[in-house]
Amino acid sequence: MTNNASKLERDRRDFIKVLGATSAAVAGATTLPGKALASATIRKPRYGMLIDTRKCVGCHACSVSCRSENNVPMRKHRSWVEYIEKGTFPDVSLNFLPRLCNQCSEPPCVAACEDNATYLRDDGIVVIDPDICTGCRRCVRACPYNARFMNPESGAADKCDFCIDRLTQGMEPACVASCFNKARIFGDLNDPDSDISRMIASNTVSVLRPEKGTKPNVFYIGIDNADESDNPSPGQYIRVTRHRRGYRKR
Amino acid sequence: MKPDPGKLETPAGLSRRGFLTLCAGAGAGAALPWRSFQAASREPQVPAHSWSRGEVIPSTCNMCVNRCGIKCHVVDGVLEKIDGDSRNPKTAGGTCAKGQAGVMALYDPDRITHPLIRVGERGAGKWRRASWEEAFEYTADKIDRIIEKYGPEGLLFSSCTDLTEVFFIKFGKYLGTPNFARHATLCLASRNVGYFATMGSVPDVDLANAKYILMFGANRMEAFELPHNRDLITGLQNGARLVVIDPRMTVTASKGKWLPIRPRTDMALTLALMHVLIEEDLYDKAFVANLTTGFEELKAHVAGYTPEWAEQETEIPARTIIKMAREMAAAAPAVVIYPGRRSSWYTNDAQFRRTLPMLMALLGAFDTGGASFFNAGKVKLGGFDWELEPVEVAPRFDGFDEERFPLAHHEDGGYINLRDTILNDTGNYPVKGWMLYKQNPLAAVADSAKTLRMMQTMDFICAIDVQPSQTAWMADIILPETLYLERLDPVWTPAGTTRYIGIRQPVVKPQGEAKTLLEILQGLGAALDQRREFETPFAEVFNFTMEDYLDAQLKKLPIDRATLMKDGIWVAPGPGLKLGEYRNGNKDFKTPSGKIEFVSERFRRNGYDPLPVYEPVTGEPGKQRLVTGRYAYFTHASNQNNIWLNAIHPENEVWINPDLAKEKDIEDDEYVIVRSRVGEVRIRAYVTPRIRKDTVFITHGFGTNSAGQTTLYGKGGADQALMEDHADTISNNQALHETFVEIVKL
Repeated sequence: MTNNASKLERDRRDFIKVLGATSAAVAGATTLPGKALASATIRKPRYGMLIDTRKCVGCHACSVSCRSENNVPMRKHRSWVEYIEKGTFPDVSLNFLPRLCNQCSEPPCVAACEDNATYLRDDGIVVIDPDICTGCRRCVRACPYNARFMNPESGAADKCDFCIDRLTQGMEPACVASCFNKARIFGDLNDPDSDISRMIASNTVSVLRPEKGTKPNVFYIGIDNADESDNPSPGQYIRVTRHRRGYRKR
Repeated sequence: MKPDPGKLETPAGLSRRGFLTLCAGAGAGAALPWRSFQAASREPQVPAHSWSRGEVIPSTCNMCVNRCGIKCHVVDGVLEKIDGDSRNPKTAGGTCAKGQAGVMALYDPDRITHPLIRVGERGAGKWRRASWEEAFEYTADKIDRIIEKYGPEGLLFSSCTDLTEVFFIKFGKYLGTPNFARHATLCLASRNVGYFATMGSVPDVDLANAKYILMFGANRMEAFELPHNRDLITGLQNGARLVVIDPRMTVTASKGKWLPIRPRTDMALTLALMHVLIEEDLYDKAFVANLTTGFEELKAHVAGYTPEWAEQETEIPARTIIKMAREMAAAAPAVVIYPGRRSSWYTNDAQFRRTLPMLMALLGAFDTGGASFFNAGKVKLGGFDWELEPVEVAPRFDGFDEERFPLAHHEDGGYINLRDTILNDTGNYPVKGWMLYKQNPLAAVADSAKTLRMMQTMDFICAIDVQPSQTAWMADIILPETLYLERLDPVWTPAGTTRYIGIRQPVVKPQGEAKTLLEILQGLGAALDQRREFETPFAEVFNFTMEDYLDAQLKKLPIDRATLMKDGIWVAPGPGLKLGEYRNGNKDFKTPSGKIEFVSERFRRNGYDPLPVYEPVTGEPGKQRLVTGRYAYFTHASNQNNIWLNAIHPENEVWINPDLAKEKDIEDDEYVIVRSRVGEVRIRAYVTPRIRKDTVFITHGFGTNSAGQTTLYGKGGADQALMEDHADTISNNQALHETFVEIVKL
């Protein structure tokens, strides 16, 4: 990610163009931008994602698509899928929890950054400027979701940014585009008519660790976010397979 | 888009990626260990993406056999990202992890990008780099010598289903051998035999609109078959009830009701379900009267197969079986009895598969929405005129014919049968040369030690492959084929509810010196022409380009090659699927009676039980039955070595029920030995309640013998090393779930 800084700068400019202008920017895109981005042209958007875990089969299209799109270094993960197995034979459940940065409205990582290298954009995406980032790791430690990592190539903190580069081209984030069961909906939470807003309005949704007060903008339907530590009683089996090779739980 | 030979010396992306330092120091002719051919970096750096630049080229994926529509983002000759093509009727824009990892498959440092000739013992991993000219001469010499000594029938041709396979088979046929082995008996041969006998073909299924879906083992959420996996999710969203019969809780089973059946007793369940439907008068009388034969015989046949009896066999409670039958009848005809795909389970599989369309017919769950149906057919492609003089061939060497396997598909061969024939030397004549294209029998066929012994009887083995697969590693020469992202293939059209044509076309230049299969066969043919005279010289047989072939395919269609290459897909106009043609009597089934046959005339004529008879199951005390299957991010044994995919699941495990683990004092994640009569592997234990105590599961594709697969080598255990060589008696489909193993604590 050597050209991250210039990329980010370019993204900012391009994004303003997309927001400020015109259906032309959208119409010229290679992939249909979806309702969310179209509506972005008329109002200030706040981007969010809704993941319907009932449709998720844990196939990892999202995590590999993310690795390919964002050149995520091996053993680091912007996007990953947790498998949660519970129960006793034959009454067993298996659930999937696709994970990514929650793009919080009250991001502890931003509060922890003393250099303003990480900040919350107007559109709700939390980004990192690797040129400013000193690699102090405070943000990595501050994130209650373990969504951040140190990128060994740039030396800066890194994480999911909803594929800003693709958004500027009128495309959906890579994980959303690759999901063949359409378990992920990306869009503008400020637009009451967007698919994501309507889905949130008509379903019971939840966020991860709401007690942290971070106000995540990644929502889930049908979630099972159990952790081994949630169930200390012996006899009840819970296994969480994180699929984050190289990752150590703190 | 023929590769420009002048540019092959400097493959696209060489300088930017910096890991294609393949031949540094590898002087031609020097014997080098595998590692010397390998990249400097194990984790290639792909440049940052720039969607604003470059071009997007539509094509067709080849990471498995589904052929999803893809769009490839290429910048300065380098493939940066693959996205799904939302216009594709089967995939609607989605991809899977494997499809995404196509980028890594293309730039995989373990790829073979120039011909390699073995210099050490077979399997020792000592190779030397050869020019194509030398590779063609070498291979033609060996083939020529085999023809000289044994005739052309001394050659065995193995290949797997793909768009270019037709050229490979044509080459073998024209050489004069009748001996082919294809993937069917490693996969679905028994299902096909069972369905063909019962209803003339294998139906498609309308999972999106079904109200009740019954799946035996089929694992569509991990072993993808598009659009079924998408449709299944849609069906569940629409409120369908899904019941999955499997000794192991797959991802598919987790999305519905999991019934952990005692393995190999599936037929007891289907017979008992039929018993209840008939006994309780729940079957579709009009459908049975109009579209089936042999109902009275079936009624008498299943009278004794009560739910209480089935409970003893299957360990599924009788009340559950009765409830299932009633629920299915209530949901009928919107019921899918899923045919399954890989049916290489048990030695009675063809007979078991027959019971599925029988159950379907009792429910009247055919030729209507939410049920099974026959597809709208494919787009009619033009034929290519081969202008060949006919070649006389000998009968097959292995007796895989009318007499011994009357209902099998003889041209596909039967792997278990042919390997035994070679090892026992019971063939009509010797087979001493093995040509392999895109097939990996050392990984794919049960009892790999036996396959190795078979390979040692060969005078010559030639593997055409993109990577050093388990089988290629044991070959005498490896000819590197282009990856799907580097070549133009014949166009293809799937059977489906929408008729369309897709194209696979080069999106980047070939890596190194890789050639397309057609180019390889042209080169090899030219070298053979110099050695002997053929009825039609190979130079004439293969005197065409892939573009010519495509033009012939598209001749009668209102689309030309250039437009198809630009658009990537062409959807045929006009009505697609029309349901009801069988129900209203306009169409007949392709069976002797023209109806769905409860009593199979074909089976009766050929001496098989015309009604499926249940065989009681015997276990082996103190041992577990071994079953295998897939994870969603691997295809067969083909991409466990892909760096991106291997990172998800670096090593396979043996699934062990917690009670068994307790008895054996085995901890989760510790290494154990799994031992069968034919082999043993060392493998991690995965202690999970997702499997029965009498069954263990090992996913396929690990424990490779190929040190050339540098990411995978040394990881996990090979299921095929443990499996005994059982086969379905009617189709010769291998039976992978007939082996009992012992779990030994280390």
